[in-house]
Amino acid sequence: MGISKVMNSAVTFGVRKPLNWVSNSKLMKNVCENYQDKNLKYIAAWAVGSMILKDGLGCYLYVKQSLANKNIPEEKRKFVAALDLANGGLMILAQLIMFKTISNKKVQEGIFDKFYGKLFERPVKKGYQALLRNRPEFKNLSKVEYAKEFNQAFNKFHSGIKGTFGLLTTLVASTIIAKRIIVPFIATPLAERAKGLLSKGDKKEQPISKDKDTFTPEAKTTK
Amino acid sequence: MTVAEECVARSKRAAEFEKGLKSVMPKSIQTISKMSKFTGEIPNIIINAFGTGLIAPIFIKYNFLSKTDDDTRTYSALRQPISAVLSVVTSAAVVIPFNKLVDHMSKKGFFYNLENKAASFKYNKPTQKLEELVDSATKNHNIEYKSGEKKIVLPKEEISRLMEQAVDDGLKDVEGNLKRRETEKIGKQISRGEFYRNNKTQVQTTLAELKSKVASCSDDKEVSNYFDAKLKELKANKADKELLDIVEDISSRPDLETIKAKIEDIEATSKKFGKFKSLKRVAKEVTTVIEAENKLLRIEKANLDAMKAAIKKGESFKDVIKIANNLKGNTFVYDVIQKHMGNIEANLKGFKQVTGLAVSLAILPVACSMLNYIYPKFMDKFFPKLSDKKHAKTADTFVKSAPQPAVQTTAQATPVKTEQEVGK
Repeated sequence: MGISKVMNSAVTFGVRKPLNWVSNSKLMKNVCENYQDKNLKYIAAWAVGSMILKDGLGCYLYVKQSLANKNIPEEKRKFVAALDLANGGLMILAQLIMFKTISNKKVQEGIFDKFYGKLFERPVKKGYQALLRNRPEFKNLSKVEYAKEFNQAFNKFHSGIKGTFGLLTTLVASTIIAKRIIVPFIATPLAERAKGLLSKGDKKEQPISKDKDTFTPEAKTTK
Repeated sequence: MTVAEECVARSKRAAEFEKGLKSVMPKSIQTISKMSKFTGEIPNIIINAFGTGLIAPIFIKYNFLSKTDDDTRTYSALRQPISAVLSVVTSAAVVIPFNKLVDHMSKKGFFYNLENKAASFKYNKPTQKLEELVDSATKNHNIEYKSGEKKIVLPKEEISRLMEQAVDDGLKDVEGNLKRRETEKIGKQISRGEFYRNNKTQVQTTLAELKSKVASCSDDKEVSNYFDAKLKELKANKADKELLDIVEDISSRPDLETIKAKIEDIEATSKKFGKFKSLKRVAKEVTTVIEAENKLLRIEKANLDAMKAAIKKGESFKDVIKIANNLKGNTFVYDVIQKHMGNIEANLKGFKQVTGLAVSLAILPVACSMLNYIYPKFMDKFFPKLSDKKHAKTADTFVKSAPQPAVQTTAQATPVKTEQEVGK
């Protein structure tokens, strides 16, 4: 009984109350209005803004923690951190470019229409309308009712297919090609420059002389 | 049939239309439709992890633009798969359960707030079926439902807003349809009718040829190939644009049967227009037919305008339904409820976006720390060469075999420290 009381309190104060508080906030009022109106710019801005925030914070944390991680060999540590920095910066840049290009609804519609536009043109639509007319489910509908319901279903289907196509192109172009191929490809050489930036202020590394004794205690104290 | 039954039948028909369209559309569209399964949250996480874990390391390790040594690049590249696994683990453990929790709370009426009842109908999903909701709304002229144990009652203002949204959608459809008919359709049909009138022989000959060829085709593929060739031939012979449009119209029908029906249809229409003596007569015929069809649309528009005016005046749900009932087969109540459902979905989507961001930002430091902890340990264990552990071992052996200095304290002789010096 004690445990269930604690659990209930944890759920109430840890989950329900905060979520209820968010759901009643002014911010959510604004978000709901825009999501209901399908304000695409607003929705896309939230999606991209979230990605940038997550990538930005991730980049900061990864760089900070990598630099401080004594378990990573010292000569590799700075490169690992520099790669994180270059990756993070480029990732944000890639998201913004994608937002303006391949993930942009107008661009996606253009690509979709180029490949599949003809399949949704009016004469083709009329053809499908005629093709489905004889199905038993629609026999009782009048010509006008049938046309109206078919049009609604066809438009919904069309926008659904367009939406899926958009998500798939974004997934392939952004998630795989841009974020996992182009970004690491550019970030790796860029990391060398970033490494220089992270090393600013550090003492210059002394090259180890072949003849220098680095093992004896005397040698260490003179270093 | 009651309004509720009619609404449910309409909802079932909508599903049938979708199923039907999926089955008759070309393979490419069917494939895209099937791939919608790969666009959810879980596939997104998996694809993202696949990219991070398997693709990105290749472009870090085998990067010909980079001057950094191969060992360091390999060491850094191997961080990606670990990061991908951790991302899947944190998503599976936190992000996905969180979104499921929000859905569960929505179905159980947990977003019920006595102080701010607006949240109740914004985020809580009904437990009842659509049929029951429509039935109750039709009888009681109100939208109220149960979400879990909570009873949600939509305020009058919210119902007015939903009614207005539903009416606006209807008006947009009807007005768009009317506009297209009054401008584009009339012009196109008059031009087509005039072509039929002036080119009787050419049209009939072409249609006869199409008819006989189509009759000899055994399947849709064959007929499609025939039309491709025919259109090419017409273009090469610089055929009249109207004739090309007619053949294209026929060829765009999705199967043999509808193509045959379209040829018959055009044949009958062209014969009818071929008998007319003047353009004026053609225009009159086209206008009469289109006007008859437009009449029904105008009645619908007038009805929707009346509904909109009543809503603006603040009339009740009951009174607006009465106006809607002037139209046969009206399912206005269904449209209003569907609007409400759509709004709940949109609100939850926005809600998950905001709270999901907060959750992701909150777990990010944990994920980073986990990576920071696991990565070097993983490398030490499985890639000791890369993580300098092997070098350390070699150095250790070297130190042990080196001539020992005369004076040596235990602390100074600690091999690990010496190795680090060597590493530098």
